[in-house]
Formats: sequence, structure tokens, C-alpha cells
Amino acid sequence: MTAYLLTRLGQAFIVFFIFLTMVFFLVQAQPGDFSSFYALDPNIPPESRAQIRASFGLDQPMWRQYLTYVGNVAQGDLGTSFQLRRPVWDVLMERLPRTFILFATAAVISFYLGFVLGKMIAWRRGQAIEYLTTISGVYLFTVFTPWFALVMMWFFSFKLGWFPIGKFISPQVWRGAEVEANSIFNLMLLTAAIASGILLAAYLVMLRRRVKRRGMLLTGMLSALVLASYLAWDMSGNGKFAWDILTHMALPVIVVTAISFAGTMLLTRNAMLETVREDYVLAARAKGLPDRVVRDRHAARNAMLPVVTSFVFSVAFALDGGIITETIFSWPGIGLTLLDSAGSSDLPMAVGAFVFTGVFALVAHFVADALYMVLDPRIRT
Amino acid sequence: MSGDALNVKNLSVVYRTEAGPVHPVTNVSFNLRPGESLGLVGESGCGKTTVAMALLRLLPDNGEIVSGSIDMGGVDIVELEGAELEDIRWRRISMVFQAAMNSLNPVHKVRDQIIEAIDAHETVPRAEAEERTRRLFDLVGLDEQLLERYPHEYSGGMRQRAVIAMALACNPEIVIADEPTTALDVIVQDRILKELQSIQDQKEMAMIYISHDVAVIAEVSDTIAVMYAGQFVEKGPSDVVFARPIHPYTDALLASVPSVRGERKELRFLAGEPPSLSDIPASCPFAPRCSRALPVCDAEIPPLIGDDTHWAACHNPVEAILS
Amino acid sequence: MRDNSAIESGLRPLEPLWRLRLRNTARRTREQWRLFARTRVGLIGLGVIAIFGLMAVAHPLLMRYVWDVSTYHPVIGFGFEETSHPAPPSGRHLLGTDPVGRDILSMLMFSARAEFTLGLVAAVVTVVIGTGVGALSAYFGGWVDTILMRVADIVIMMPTIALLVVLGSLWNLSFLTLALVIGGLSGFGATAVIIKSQALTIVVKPYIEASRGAGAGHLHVIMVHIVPNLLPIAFLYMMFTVTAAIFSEAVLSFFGILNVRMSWGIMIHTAQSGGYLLSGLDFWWLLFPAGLSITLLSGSFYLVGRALDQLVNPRLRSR
Ligand SMILES: Nc1ncnc2c1ncn2[C@@H]1O[C@H](COP(=O)(O)OP(=O)(O)OP(=O)(O)O)[C@@H](O)[C@H]1O
Ligand SMILES: [Mg+2]
Repeated sequence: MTAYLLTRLGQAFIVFFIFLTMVFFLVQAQPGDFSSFYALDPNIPPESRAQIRASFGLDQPMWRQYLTYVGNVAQGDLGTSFQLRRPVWDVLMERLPRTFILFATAAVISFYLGFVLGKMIAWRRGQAIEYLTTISGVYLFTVFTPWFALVMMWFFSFKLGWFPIGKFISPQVWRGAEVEANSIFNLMLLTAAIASGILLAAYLVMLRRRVKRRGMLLTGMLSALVLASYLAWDMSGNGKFAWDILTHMALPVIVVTAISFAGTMLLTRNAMLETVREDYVLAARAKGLPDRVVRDRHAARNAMLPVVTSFVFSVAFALDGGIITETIFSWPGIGLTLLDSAGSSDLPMAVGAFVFTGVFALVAHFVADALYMVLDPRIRT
Repeated sequence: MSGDALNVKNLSVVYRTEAGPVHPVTNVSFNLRPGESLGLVGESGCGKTTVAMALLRLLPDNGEIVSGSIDMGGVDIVELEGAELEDIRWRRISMVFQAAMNSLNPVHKVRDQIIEAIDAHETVPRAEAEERTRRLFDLVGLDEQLLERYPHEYSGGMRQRAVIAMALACNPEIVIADEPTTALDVIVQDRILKELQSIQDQKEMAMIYISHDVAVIAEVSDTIAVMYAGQFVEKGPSDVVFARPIHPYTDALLASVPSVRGERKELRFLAGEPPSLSDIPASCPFAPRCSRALPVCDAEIPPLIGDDTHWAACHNPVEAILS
Repeated sequence: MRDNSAIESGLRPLEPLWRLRLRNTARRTREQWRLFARTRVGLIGLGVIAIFGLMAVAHPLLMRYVWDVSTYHPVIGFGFEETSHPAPPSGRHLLGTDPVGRDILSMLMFSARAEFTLGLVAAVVTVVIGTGVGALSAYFGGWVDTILMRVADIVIMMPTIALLVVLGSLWNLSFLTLALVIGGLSGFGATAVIIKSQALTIVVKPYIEASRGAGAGHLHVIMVHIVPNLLPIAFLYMMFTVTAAIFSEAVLSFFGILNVRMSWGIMIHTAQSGGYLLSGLDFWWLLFPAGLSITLLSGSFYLVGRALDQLVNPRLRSR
């Protein structure tokens, strides 16, 4: 079990290394070099160009530069942003949690929603509803994301006024605040992490103890936790700040969820259509199990495996969707950083954000692998 | 005929396909006494599994029982719906599937798969259910340790036994065993068949054995039904049928298994193919392949000859029937 | 299918092999079409694609015979008769005009052609690369396979838009380079993996061995025996590439990264930079025609791909 995970971890490192190499040569292959980007910066006199070149090691042979680059990345040194004049690493680390929470929330919700809907469509197949959901699912999946995000923003923020229009916080709420938005946000992350930890632990205990009606109990616990954190935040006096961030987050999460759940839904449906023909599903029906149990515990449980496997595809897709959504909503995460810096020729920042995106994808992939291992006993032993 | 464990009358099934309807089971009638074992034998594709599936009402989406009744202690299974049907399944009639290897779900422990069947029909405390699974495993000759394992950790023979144990979990009145041993080697096959027989004796349940292998059927069943092109062509007590088959098809089947009659005869294989199930002729379906065929065989539906215990549908029987 | 042609050529030795193959292909195509037509989802997709195809074809004709060039030109036209722009739909401008006075319908139709070209180029690149990589990987195995498949892993994992954004900041991305990059990504990534698994079932066939034994070179075996068998499945995955190409083009144009004069993405970009986006339905013609077109066309190729998928994987076929 650990051997499997270690192998996968090793592979992930190799893949990351190849990825880094590709990034390096990509940057090398572009016309001009790093220093030429400084030409855009009027503050730097031309005569110091050579000095800058040397300071970047650009006068060294290529293999040397390559080793330096890999070494630097390994130490968390991604260079300095031309624009922000801060280490790229620091900027990205500050923004990573925002992307993470957007992505993680959307991934969990869309996976759950897509899975539930997909299995229901497959179970009641051959009806008009199937065509309808397939077609609308596909178009939702391939919808022009920026347009969709804009329409959503117009409708929910502008027309209905439910959510603020983009950005991370509303300045008027934070005027005179003694706390930083980031520290509030980190506290919020902590709250969410603790709550999910408790829920997960409770779920595992219930599984062990074979508690019936787990769904109801979990829902109850979830409501209790939500209430508890609400009260805790309210009493700390920072409640309105947290609420402000939360409302800014809601619509981007909804948008990323909406564009990625359709993929999971269609995938689950296809996987279900294969598993419903398996003999163990027939056997489960023969055993006189209720329809819902046959569907969930037997057909859908196995259909989950290929869905988790193709999570790799979904990760790339959801990250793309995330970048677009962050940009439309001016949500200051990795995606917006990537697009901004690429647009303003801030090369270290753009490449750094890209490397982060790659690492993000790798980690998500690894988590999917681990999840697969938990779900499939054939791999575990 | 009350007192029967099962009474099937004029059962017909169709499969609707793109190429038109297929008739895998036509006008099948039989009864099963408590504790009796019925052997259902016939070539591959003649509709044996379909009969079994119809009894459990597990036909695929495109399959439908078009006529007939399946009476089980006064309840007509054909009429049941939803929860009533779920209640009958496994508790009163269970099944060992043809693809027994695949009828265990790979992602759940075998014990959980047995217990879920018990839980679906009875409210017993967990400890008692676990105790029962242990006894079941003892019964089929499996190590209790295996209960904690997943199906992929079992050998083929072990899985087969586990599936049999699962079929017995709710003490059903009838167990259908569809090719229970086909995928196993001869020695294991023999041992499992013996065990099944002794379990059947202990538990006093009725069994329906399905096989294309006459030798297997001969070993385990009291009564034998021969199926051809979706119809029962002959039925009777095993020893009688084996000694004096009425229908030429039964005769040909038996002739292909020398050991059944003890005498060494030249192996005779049937020439030709069974008829297409999409248009069953209104005459004897076996006529085109039959060595004893008469002109009437191609023209009329054969009459039932013999008596209630041993009968066949034939125009020109092998044995002269005294009636 | 192969056996069929062998039997037929045995029966009629005089007929040239290519004609037999052609006839076989025709028959198979008819059969496949029958199956395809039954997957209503695929037909819907095909219908939508056909509508856009008509638009693409009609645009040059309209420009030549119906529309006045100075008014309706998709890039430099200007609706003189309107008092202000963007103008709402009217008899003259069926879908209205954009903030700089260009006719929306003309822009829409003009761009459709570009999208098809883009999709086609990307798809062809995918087929060529994907088939090549898949065949090589399956045929040679060993380290060739290892390297190609690890590369595929990375490419699959890579968020395409992120990569294209970075590429766009390093190079000047034109329509053609975009098509090449997207085709390449798909060809080296998912398509290669799927085609390889198909190729693995072919390389073990006896005729490969026989052909090698008869002295055929690697290249000959791959080109004559393996590649033809991979093309159908490559065609299938080509559809998904078209979806990706149309989608990426639109996103990049929208972000102003792509160096093109006119496309559906540019249309939305223009509307956005003019500040008309949050006007909602007041200026719907700036946002909806282009946005819907992108969604519909890329989605339709996806639908067709799915329908073809059902033909290739009969287990999914609805009974
Ligand atoms: N879902 C279905 N749709 C259409 N035809 C079917 C379907 N299932 C089975 N058939 C056909 O019905 C006939 C009877 O099938 P069945 O499985 O009952 O045969 P069998 O006697 O059990 O054969 P075997 O010994 O090979 O298991 C076969 O000709 C088969 O091709
Ligand atoms: Mg069968």
C-alpha cells in the first residue's frame, strides 16, 4: 500500500523534473533572453544590461544555466517579479491559498454533483431526460467559459445583486480595519480545514462502527459545524470581514463548479452504463436488495473508479476554467497572476505561475491516485 | 398440484432486438417438489439461463415474459412488483450465476456481500449475521479467514464456493445453479457437486441445476428436463430418461456421453445448427436435424406423449410408448 | 473486415485490390452511418455543424453579391446609416453592430470560416502526430514507449490555456501556430495514449509477424499494416481536438493574447473592452451571438465525437 504510493510519488517527481526541463527550454527557445525584457523597463539604463545578464547567469553555457535553474527552483527561488519587485515565490505563496480554496471547493462540489446526477441518468436510461441531460451537459461542458462567467456575473451580481462584482474584498467594508485580508482568509481556511477534518473523522468512525443512516448524521454534524463556526467568527468581531470574503468567493466557485460538473456527470454516466451490465450488479438485484442500494453500493461504487482515473483530464480542465474564472472575477489567485504577468511581459512571474500550476496539477493527480487506491482493493494489496 | 415448491405454466419469453423479436423460451411448463432436484440440459443458447432469469424476474431490459405463470406457494411471481419481488428474491429463491466468478463485487469484502443479502431480508444483529456467514463458509468448505478478504484474493474454486455460500445465506426454498462448475477443473467440479448435493439433503431445499453437460446433470438431479430451441422436449425421472429416452434429441445428447449408460458406444455428434430463435416453426424444431424425422415432423406441432412423470413432444419417438 | 477483402479477392482475383478495399470501405461507411444516425445526439451535433458550415460558405458570396463591402466588411466595415453604435438589430443589420460600427452577422459568419480552418488544421495535426506516436510506442515498446508515454502524461496534465498564455507571452501566436500547438498537444497527449492502446491490439496480430518474417521493414509494417487500422479511432479523437481548438482560440482572443484580426473571441473581447458587458440584456447582441456560437460549435463537435465513440465502443450503444 505504501509501496504503491511511494512509487507514484517517485513518478510524480520524475514527471515534475521533465516538466521543469520543458519549461526551461521553452523559455530558452523564445526570441531574445530574460534580460531583453528589462528593455521595457525605462528605469534600467542600457549600460547595465551586461551586468544584469551576468547576474542572471546568462553569459554561462546553457547546461550550466539549466542546472542553476533547477537548483533554484528546488530551493523555492523562482526569480524576482519585474513588476512587483518581490520574489516570485513569495507572491505565489501568498496567492496559492486563494486558488486552492476556489479549486478544492469547486472540485469537491462538482465531483459530488456530477457523480450523483450521472448515476441517476444512467440508471433511468433510454428516456427523453437522457438526451436532454446529455446535450445540455455537453454544451455546459464546452461552454465558452469567459462568456458564461460574464453572463453569470451579470445575472447574479448585477441584476439580482446577490454577490459583489468580482475582486477579493470590498474596500469600503475593510476601511479602517486593523486586520489584514490575508490573515482573515488564512483563518477562514483553518476553520474550513478543521471542520472538514472533523467530518472526515466522524465518517470514518461511522464506517468502522457500521452506523446506519450515515448521511443524515453527517448532514446534522455539518449544520452544527457551520453554526459553530458562524458563532465563533461572529464573536471574534471579524465576522463581517470573513463574510465579505465569502461573498466574493461564492460566485467564482459556482462558475467553476458549473463548468466542471458536467464532465464528471457524462463520465459517470458512461462508466455506469458499463458497470450496470456486470454480473455482480445482476447478482445484487437477485439478492433482493432495494433498487437504490443496487445502484449506489454496487453499480455506482464501481463506476467511480474510472471516473477517478480520468480525474487527470478533469484537473487540467478545471485549472483552465479556474484561470479564466479568476481573471473574469479579478480573483487574485495564481491564474489571474499568470494572465496579468504574461500580459505585461513579467516573464519570471509568468513562468513561476506556470510552474506552480504544473505543481498544482501534479499534486491533484497524486491525490487522485491515493483516492483510487482507497477505492480499489485490487490495488491496495 | 399444491404442495409444489414451484409450478411454472406455459412460460414464454421474448427478447426484443433490432432484428426483431427472439423467442428464447416458448411455452415451458414444469413443477418442482420441495427437496427435488431438477436438471435442465440443452445445447448452448437454447434458453436455459433465460428460464432461470425469468423465475427471478431478472430478465434484461429488452426481455419480457409474454405469457405464463410462475406459482410459488400461491404467489404468482410474474405478477409481483417492487418490494414484493425484492422480498421473494434470495429469501425464497436464490441463484448461483453462470458467471459465478464475476458475480462477486470486486470492491467489497465477501463477508459484507453475504451479510448485505441477510440484512435485506431479516433484521438480525450484526454478530449473529457474522456467525451465520462463518457457518456458511464451513458448510461449503472455505476457511473462515477468507471472509475478511476481497474476491480478487480468491481462487476460481474458492469464488465458486463463496457464491454458493451466498446463495444459501437466507435459507431459500429453491436454489438455481446455472452451470455451477463449468469453469472449474474436473476434480474440483466433482467435489463441489457432491457438496452441493449433501447441502441440499441437509437443508431440504429444491434445486434447479442448469448445464449443457449431461454427465453433470446425471450426477446430481432426480428429474431431468431436456430443452431444445426454447422448448422442453422431454422431461422425466433421471434414471428413466437415461435408460429409455423418448425424444430423438435426448437420445442424441445421451449418445454423446458414453459414460452415462456405462456402455462404450461410438460418439455421435449432432450435425447441423439449432434453428434460429427468431422464427420458431409451427412444427417440431428438431426435425431438420433429426435422424428419425417423418414428413409430419415438418408440418405439425408434435404431440405430448408419455405420462405425467415422463413425457416428450415427438411424432416419432425412440421408445415405443405404451399408453 | 480484413478477412472479407481477402475472401473477396480470392473469389474474384481479377479485381484490383484497391477497388475491393474501396468497396469494403463504402459498405462499412454506410453501415456506420446507419448506426451513427440512430444516436440522435450525434445527429443534433452534425446539424449544428452544418448550419455553421453554411454560414461560413455563404459569407464570401454575400460579400460579393449582396452586401456592400464598405458597410459590411467584417474587419474594416462601418454602418454609416446608423446614428450611433452599437446599434440594435434592424433590417439593415440583422444582428446589430458592434461599438465600432461593424455588422455583427458579417463578423459572425466570417469568423465561422476561420474556426473551421483552425479546427481542421489542428485535427489533422492531431491525427498525424497521435497516430505516429501511438503506432511507434506500441510497435517498438521499450524505452521508446516509456519516453513517449511519460511525455504524454505531462501533456495530459497540462492545463492548455495556462500553457498557451505563457507561450503567447513568449511568442507571437498566430492562428496557424495556435492550430499547430493545439493539434500537437492533443496528438502527443490523450490521443496518443488512446491510439497506443488500440495499436497494442494490432501489433500482436499474426500478420504483423508474418510481414516482418517476409522481410518487410519497420516503416513498411507500420505504414501498411498498423496505421490504416488506427485511422478510424484517430478520426474519432480528432473531433475532440476541434472542440479544444475552437474553445482555446476563443479564450485566447478574448484575453487579447492571440494575434488575429477577427474571431468570435475577438468579438466578445471588443464588447468587453468597450465596457458593454455588464449592461446585460441591453446590448445582448454584442455578447450572445458570439458566445453562443463558440459554445454551440465546439459543443457540437464534442457531441459528434461522443456519438462516434459509441460506434467504436459498442458497449455504450443504447439497446
Ligand atoms: N438480452 C438479449 N437480447 C437478445 N437475445 C438474447 C439476450 N440474451 C440472450 N439472448 C439470446 O437468447 C438465447 C437464449 O439465451 P440463454 O442465455 O438463455 O441460453 P443458454 O441456454 O443459457 O446458453 P448457454 O448454455 O450458452 O449459457 C440465445 O440465443 C441468446 O443469443
Ligand atoms: Mg446460460
